[in-house]
Amino acid sequence: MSRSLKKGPFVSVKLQEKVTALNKSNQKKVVKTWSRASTITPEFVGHTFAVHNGNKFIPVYVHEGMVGHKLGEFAPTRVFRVHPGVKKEESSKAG
Amino acid sequence: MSSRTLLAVGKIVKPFGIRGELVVLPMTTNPARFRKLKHVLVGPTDAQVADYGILSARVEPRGVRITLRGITDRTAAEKLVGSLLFVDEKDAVRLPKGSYFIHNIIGLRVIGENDEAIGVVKDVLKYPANDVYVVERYGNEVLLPAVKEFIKKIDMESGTMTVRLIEGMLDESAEESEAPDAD
Repeated sequence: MSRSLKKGPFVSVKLQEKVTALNKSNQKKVVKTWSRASTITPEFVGHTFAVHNGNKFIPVYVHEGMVGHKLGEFAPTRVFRVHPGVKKEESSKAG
Repeated sequence: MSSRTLLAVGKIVKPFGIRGELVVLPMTTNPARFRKLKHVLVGPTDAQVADYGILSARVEPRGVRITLRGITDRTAAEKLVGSLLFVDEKDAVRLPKGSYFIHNIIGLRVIGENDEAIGVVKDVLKYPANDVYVVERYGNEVLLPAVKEFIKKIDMESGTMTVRLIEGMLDESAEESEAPDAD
């Protein structure tokens, strides 16, 4: 069952305050958070969050397409690794 | 064996049917590349490989189904289960601008915009939002998001990656951290 529209999206109060303060001062800082359940609101866009995955803080740069999702969706708690040491034809887009 | 560099493009996970077809788990960013592949090197490691021609390849949601020349029945196919498929580095897919092979990124020296040394890329992690570069810095790990806002330039010739850092990225100024609470 989806969350009641009356309540609006859940965002940790502390996290919201930090983002509002950063937006007011027009600053960019990495915001560390454990609040994986917080919904990404439009104010979060352009900020970088270090989202805890139970082990370490995963840096998540928020862009427009992520609005409405939860922060935790972008910091998985499990990592599947295969074939360490083999050079794979896998690429990474740097920007 | 010569000193050529081989890149793994897939792993044979199981035989399919009784005519020697194989199901391959792609280990490449672009699984559609199997459609154009004519030859592949098959072996448990990149040091012990045998050349096989590819007769057919179908890219499907649950893996790539390929038929290799000379593998005509299930018994022969079963012997190859667990082997890796390799291609020569010179036959690797062409990447769009701004993309790099992970094995080329690992080992790059990371420098700041003012040429200050930050560390060396140790690993590249795939995450849903963005890739993350694991940078070794004075024995610690620093995680940098691989987005153009922070990765300003990658120079393969000089082996350097120029990054723009913001406060808190090196985890030294962690004053933003909040204690885990009951939210």
